[in-house]
Amino acid sequence: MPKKKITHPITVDHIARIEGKAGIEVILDGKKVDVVNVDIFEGPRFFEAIAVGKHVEEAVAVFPRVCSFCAAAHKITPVLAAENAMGLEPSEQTMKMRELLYIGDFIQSHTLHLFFLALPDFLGYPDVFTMQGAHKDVLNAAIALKDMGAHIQAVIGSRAIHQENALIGGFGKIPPKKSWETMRQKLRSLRSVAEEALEQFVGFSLWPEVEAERVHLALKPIDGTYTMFGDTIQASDGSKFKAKAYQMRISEKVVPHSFAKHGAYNDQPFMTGALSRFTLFNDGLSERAKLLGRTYEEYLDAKNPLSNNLAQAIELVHYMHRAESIADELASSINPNERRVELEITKAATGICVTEAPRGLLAYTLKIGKNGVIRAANIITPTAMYLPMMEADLKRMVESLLEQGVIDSSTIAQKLETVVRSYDPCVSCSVHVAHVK
Amino acid sequence: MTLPDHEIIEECRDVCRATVGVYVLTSCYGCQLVMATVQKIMEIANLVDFKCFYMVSSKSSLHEPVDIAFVEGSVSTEKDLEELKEVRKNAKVLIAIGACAVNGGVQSWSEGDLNYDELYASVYGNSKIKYKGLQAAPIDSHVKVDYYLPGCPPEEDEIMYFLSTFLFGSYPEEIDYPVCAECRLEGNPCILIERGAPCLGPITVAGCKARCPSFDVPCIGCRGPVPHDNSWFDSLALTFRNKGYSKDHIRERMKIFCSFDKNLEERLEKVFGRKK
Repeated sequence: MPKKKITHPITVDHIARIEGKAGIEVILDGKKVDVVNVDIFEGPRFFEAIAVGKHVEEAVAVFPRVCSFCAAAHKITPVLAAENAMGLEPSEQTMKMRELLYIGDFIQSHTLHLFFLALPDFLGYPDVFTMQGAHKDVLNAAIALKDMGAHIQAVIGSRAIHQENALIGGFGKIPPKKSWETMRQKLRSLRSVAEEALEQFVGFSLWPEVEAERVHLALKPIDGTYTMFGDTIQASDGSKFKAKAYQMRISEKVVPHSFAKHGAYNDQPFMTGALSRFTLFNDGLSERAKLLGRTYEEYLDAKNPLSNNLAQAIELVHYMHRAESIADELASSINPNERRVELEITKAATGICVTEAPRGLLAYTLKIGKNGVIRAANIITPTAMYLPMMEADLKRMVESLLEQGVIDSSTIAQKLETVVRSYDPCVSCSVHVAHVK
Repeated sequence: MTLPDHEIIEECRDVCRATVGVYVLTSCYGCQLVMATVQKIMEIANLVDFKCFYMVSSKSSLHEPVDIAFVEGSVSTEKDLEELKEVRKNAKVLIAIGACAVNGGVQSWSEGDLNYDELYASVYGNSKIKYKGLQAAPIDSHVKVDYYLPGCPPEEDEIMYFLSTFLFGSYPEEIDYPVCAECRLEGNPCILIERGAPCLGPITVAGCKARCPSFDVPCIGCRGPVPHDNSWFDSLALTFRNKGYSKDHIRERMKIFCSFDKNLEERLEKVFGRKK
């Protein structure tokens, strides 16, 4: 128990270097930590409500605007949900291009988070700009990887953010053979660069204060490898369930300190994201990524959220390899004249799709009328799902620090911010908000 | 050409470092993402002094005076509004960046159909949240805006153009011609005329090099509406009526990115005529 009482309140008004607006508020009850709130004051944007009554083709053009960091995730997931409702089967080529586009999003998002948002914490800088002098090589690697993710998305999707070329039924225009060859070349030249991120994050000790048992949820990769598509959600407690039935197991509730709802799995907090995927499915990683994962096992602790950084770095290595092999396949198999499958909406129907976005499980349910108009929509984002677990970790952190006699509120606040950033929260996503049942 | 009615920032040369703030209200963070990752960002960071850029820097404050303020996002909470007023007070030049700040953004898609209380109830039911939300609105409905940098997201070269003109003691010019002009230069066939695709190119501000029509995807209007009182508008916009589109269809599609445009109905009337 601390001998001296903290004189200043522990608060963070605006957490820097995350995507969105949030703060942290620690409420003490005497010497005990009563509660730690992650206050989400990013304004709500009501995506599900405003899409109602609009044509599904326009709605799927609007959904990516939920979030710029994972725009491709918010494009491909509702497109698949809409196709599911219409009974439309996308071609094999379309699915390969979508997967590669989605990988481009993973590469861009993980790179930005690891190097631009998280790394300054560990190297002791306020931002990447001030890191330029001492860490030029690291930044060059970061920029090359970010550009690679952006390039993949621009070639397939039309641009790095809010890709308009990905449509229900296929693509507007299919890049020719030469584009895939160039992409493959670029990916090959960056093979070793992806490991730079790993080198940066290996060696930082995982703070024991936030270590605790937790349930992880992740989508079982459809082909037994390691990817973002699948039909079954696997939990680390051994249970699994159909992704389409997610609403039976994953629930959301409103809390007074947040425009983002709080998710729960069987009424308990849980984690989703890179660490969850790695924990459950690392057997399916590319050989090199798997080997690196084994080598640095001690820094990849499923009980410690700070491991999420390194898990993302492993995924970065894996996805660079996977992108290269898909680009390779497309370079030899591409048919640039393949037609988009025509939309045919014959009856009202509901479509559901769950994918793994860079930050974890992302679920879309779209109810479409027979005139092609959205009747109801439900979106659950990873950040909303893991917010309660994040708050529990922050509470553990404050309690341990106080116990160790740390009473400087700014030191505590800084540590809390680092824990929040390791989750890579996407606040814009979390406040898109879902319907109350 | 009219000169701007705000203070022009003195040309910087080698001595001074212009102070820049990048602020965000409610949005997807895409404008900042483009800004933080423009090709020359590291060089730019050496040329200017970022006083606020929360997304990428812990060394950020809302309360410092700045020469140039870029504001992303719509005003969607009372806190957004307070922050916006503070930014305006501290900024010499204020630029609305991106569709949300310029025109309310996609979150205003239901503007005129559903009000804030209805939207709130549909999502949160009767539950209370301690922050007060507001109906999403473009920033110029609350403060004076000096320049508009449109797009969802904005183009990288346009961000560079804005920044560099200010640093040279000049100011950016508004684009007043439609996407069609650039689409012709790209050599695309017209997907509106030839396929009847609902392409908003004729009435949308250029600057994107007709990216979507070049991908055979109809323009969704993300750069906002082109001025409707010029000859471009008269000659091109009528195509919608000629192709058999209804006024309601075009209105709904236009509303994604310009539901707050004061001239929306007037534009539609120019295309479809006054009576129903």
